[in-house]
Amino acid sequence: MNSVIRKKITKALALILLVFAVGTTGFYVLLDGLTVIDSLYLTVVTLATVGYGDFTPHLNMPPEGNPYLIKFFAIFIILFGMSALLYGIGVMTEYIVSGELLGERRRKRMQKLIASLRNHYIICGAGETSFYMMQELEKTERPFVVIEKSEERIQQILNQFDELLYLQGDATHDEILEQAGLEHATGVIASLSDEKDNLFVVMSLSQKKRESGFPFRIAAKITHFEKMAPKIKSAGADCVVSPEHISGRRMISEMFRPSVTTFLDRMLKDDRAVMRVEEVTVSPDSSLSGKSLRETRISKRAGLLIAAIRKGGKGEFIHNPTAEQVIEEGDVLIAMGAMAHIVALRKLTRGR
Amino acid sequence: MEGEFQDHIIICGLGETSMQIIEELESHREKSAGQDTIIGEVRLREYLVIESSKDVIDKAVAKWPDLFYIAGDATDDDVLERASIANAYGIFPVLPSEKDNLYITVAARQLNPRIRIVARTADVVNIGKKLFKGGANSVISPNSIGGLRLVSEIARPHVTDFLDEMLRDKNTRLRIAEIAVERHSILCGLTLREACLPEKCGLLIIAMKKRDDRFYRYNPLASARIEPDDIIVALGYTEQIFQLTKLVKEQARV
Repeated sequence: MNSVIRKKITKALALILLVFAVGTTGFYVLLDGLTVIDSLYLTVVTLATVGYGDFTPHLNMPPEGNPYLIKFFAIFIILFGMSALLYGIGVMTEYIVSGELLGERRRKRMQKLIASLRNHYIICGAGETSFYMMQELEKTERPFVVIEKSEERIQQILNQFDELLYLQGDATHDEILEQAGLEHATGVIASLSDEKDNLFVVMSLSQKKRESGFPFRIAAKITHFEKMAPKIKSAGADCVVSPEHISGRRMISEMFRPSVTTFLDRMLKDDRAVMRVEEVTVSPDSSLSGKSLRETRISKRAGLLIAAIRKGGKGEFIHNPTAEQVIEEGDVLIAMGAMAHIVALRKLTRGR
Repeated sequence: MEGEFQDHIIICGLGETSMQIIEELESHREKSAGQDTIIGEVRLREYLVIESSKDVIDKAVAKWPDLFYIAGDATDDDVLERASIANAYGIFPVLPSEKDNLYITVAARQLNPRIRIVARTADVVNIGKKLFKGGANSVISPNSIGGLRLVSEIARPHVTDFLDEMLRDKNTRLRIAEIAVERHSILCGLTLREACLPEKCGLLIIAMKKRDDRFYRYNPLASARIEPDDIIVALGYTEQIFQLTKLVKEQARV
């Protein structure tokens, strides 16, 4: 609720309370034989324009009372009270309508943004693991949409990301995947908390992929590796990761050979330097294609280290390539460097 | 079986993560076929599991008939002592409850100041800090590494292959090495450009760290000067790294 509306609502409530207080006191003092409750009741009946007639200023006027004074008081209470009530109703309507309109506008804007996404990632389910995925995708400047059922969880995540694109709904429904731009997506990650739901999502995704020929890759998160991995792979997932499973492996590394993993780990986790190991594929349009590494001047222009090249994106890596190594279209370069430089290299390899 | 253990590993809890830990340990044992099992630079004698549920133990024993186990609660100090914690090399507190893992971490550190503790938590920010404070050497979060791994696999499959090859594959000899520059090395005083390390050894200099730096400087400039006690991080084949090590050790003739 924004502060302007909150102020208006407070003001309206205060005015209405004031009317009741003045009305009750006035009737109690001016009229004969009324209790405090009777006076409050008379005020409410007056303002609600009900007028049962069991108490009226006219009937209950004391013999020595000034009839004009009482009538003026009644006029004042009716006019002032009605205005206060109408004002209150107006403020409440404004609050409800404007809130919904804003939400509607935001939804429309977000749908437009989602529809304009290209080469993006779709994350199904916004659990704890997904949170880290979103963080990594954001850090490496890859656009993504998250699909989550729970409104509460969406609110939690909205606090952590500035420009989060999300769809609220059940990822096991095909329509919502379509809305997330499946056609233009690079990858979809099924990361729902229920393993059966995840299997279901992977199956409908791979069916969709077969029917439509969309080029997205499918990844799935699972918990029980032995039980689920074969099933979810045969359902069509390109890669399957069990966080529990890989932590087992990782814990062994940490226990016995901490020095091997730590450097890379520190490098990836270091928030200041944000050094990354990334890959780029050389597109046919790229100005780099056909040149040697020296001629491309990648390391000078983009401030990057090319750690390896995979010719045609298949087979063995050429490690520590020499300056004479020629780059051709379809080659995959493994580059190390600051994220900004990697983004620059992505543009170069993508071409015009 | 108690009391016989020395330099062993204790695994607290038999869940999905511990199963994988056992799997890894067993595969190392198989590879060493009767010889001493050496992982990294550590000679592993034995490992044992502490688990309170009989059903879970039965399932694990069906898979690994020779499994050493103690049926009991790992948060009970007596149980930890029966597992000869005072002589252990390391412990994995991987119970489902965060509180239990924290307790075991603190207890293990008290019972054995030299033990290596590698703990797991779902909440790196809050519980992770406590675990480190309690004495853990390393803390792993399945959510965090699982999330990173999923993104890597789907967004950069080639990098995943590349790093896997480097970290795990026994056949490729590609390594990342950290090499300290000695006081009298001939490299001292040269800039990276003058030292021509990539040309001489064929490897890649990824990062450098000066004596007083707390953090690495990645992708150092060619004009960066090499000084005594600097640390050079290089990516290359084992023989290239060996060559660099030799070069760094080579002393300037005074």
